[in-house]
Amino acid sequence: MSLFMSLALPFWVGYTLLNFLFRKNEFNLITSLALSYGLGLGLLTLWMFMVGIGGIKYNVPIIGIPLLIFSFFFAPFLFKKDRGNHPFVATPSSLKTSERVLYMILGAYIIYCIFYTFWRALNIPIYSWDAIASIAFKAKVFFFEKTIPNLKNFPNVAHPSYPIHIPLIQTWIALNLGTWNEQLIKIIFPIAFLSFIIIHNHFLTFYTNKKWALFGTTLLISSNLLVLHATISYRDLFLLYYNCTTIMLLLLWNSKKDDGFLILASLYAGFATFTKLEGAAYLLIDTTLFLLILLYQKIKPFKENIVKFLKFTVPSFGICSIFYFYLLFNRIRPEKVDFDFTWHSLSRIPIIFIEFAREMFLSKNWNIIWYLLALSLLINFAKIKKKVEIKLLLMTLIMFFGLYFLNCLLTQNYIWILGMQEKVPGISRLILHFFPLATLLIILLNYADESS
Amino acid sequence: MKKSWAKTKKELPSHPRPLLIVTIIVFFLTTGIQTVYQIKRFTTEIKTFSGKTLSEKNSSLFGLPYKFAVFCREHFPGKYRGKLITDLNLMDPEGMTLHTRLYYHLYPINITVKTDGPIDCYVIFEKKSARDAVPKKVKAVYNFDPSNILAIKEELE
Repeated sequence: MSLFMSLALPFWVGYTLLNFLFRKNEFNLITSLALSYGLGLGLLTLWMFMVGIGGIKYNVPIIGIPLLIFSFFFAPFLFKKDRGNHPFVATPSSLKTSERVLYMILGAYIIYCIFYTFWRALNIPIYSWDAIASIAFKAKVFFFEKTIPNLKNFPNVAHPSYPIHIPLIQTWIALNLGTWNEQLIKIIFPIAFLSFIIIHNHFLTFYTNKKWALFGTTLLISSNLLVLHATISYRDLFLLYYNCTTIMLLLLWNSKKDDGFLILASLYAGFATFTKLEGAAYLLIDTTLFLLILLYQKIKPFKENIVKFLKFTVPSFGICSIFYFYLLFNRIRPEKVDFDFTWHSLSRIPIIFIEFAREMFLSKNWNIIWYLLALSLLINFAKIKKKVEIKLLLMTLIMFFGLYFLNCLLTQNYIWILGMQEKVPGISRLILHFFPLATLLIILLNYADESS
Repeated sequence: MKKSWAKTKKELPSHPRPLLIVTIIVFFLTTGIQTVYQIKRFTTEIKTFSGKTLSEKNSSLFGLPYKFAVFCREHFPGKYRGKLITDLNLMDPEGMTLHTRLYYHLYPINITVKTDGPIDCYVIFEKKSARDAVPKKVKAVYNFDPSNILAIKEELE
């Protein structure tokens, strides 16, 4: 019951704010809940962060009641709008037997993967290295101290400068449970996995149809690494969730012109910066994508563009700055930002390309997703220019690869990213943050409207 | 929006059918193979973890650091600062792993505090002749085994 309550609050807070942001109902209930999850958790951890640095001791009412009051300001908007027509289930149509069998196989595979992630997350305690060394350990410290102590006083805690969105969510769950339980606090990961599948599916359904969206979802969860990360206590799955949802929301904003999408994307981009350090770099990519969309939307009054710019940048950069100001005031240096370039670094270029190609095409992490993307780009090359969504997605994907290419070239991070010293390179976890863009592209490139 | 996509249908190149079929077959094959492996792993995990308590699972996953941490927390319950005394090389991957497992499970007995600060106990872990390493002026010594001992300071700071 207490586990349910600990999850119900962020869902509720996120749901009310989501309904406030949109003048009309843009999503069905399931997609709304999938979006509310990340939104509510983001607001929850920001509030916990403020409470913690304010020196107030954590307990459930101190954290929960102000959030509930906050949500009641937005609750009236739940009843004020057109509910729209968003059926939960596809209307049965005349399907061939072969198609019916195919859908049943894909549906069964998706259900199996979801069941597997929930079982694994809730039956195997936290054991992976980063989780016990840093993420869950910080959460355990926050839970027992009932606040955020200065992490500089914990010299052996790995990475005091890392953002603390995930540790704070785990602290919240443990506070509700009243005890530290290494299994139950992992519930947040399979739910994030499920939520992302739903959002991914909604996006594809909007641009294609239910059949192609189902293919896209199958393709997405056929990635071994994604399924694994839905069951362990790492931060990468949440960064994927926030990062890719931001991009999808920006594209939906471009298509639907409702600024609710823009503000929601901005909040998600901000929460990504509070999840992992990489989120701050992704915010720059999101901002570039936003500016590109403004360019594609042709000329508008300058004033209107400025308003839209503020709608995107103020929430996202505002959230981002909160944590970085905290680091600044506590004199905690952000890691992984040291510039280190000599002409000799250029000799890394072939290694960078080889390692990325090896990871994408020869590892068991991605099924054949990157092959399919390469093939789809080759076959549908002409479509790239015709469809603005495809063009923007492709540019965004290139920006992500470009970011890591420059990161490997200009900083010492290449040692970690390419696995020059460690057995397990970090490259796979970095690609995880944006690989769903590849599955979206594969579907959009291959989709041919069959309705006409 | 959907209409604009529909309009361009005729402009879209149709797929070479054999290529599409081959791609679908390869995708189903690779996904099938990896699912078979995943199910095998799943079955092993069900056998390993089902019907066990959280403590039993942690014991089998982490071994000595977990068991010793539980022993320490049972004998000295509460939030305390401890000093780690060990023969482990904490720079070496194996030593680092054991140390991490210990400090995680030992908390709220905190051995990650600054070593020059005040402390309440000594956590002697993986130390040959650990008994000899127990500092003077301790009020209680709890032996887990000859290499692992918890010693509590006479006056708690």
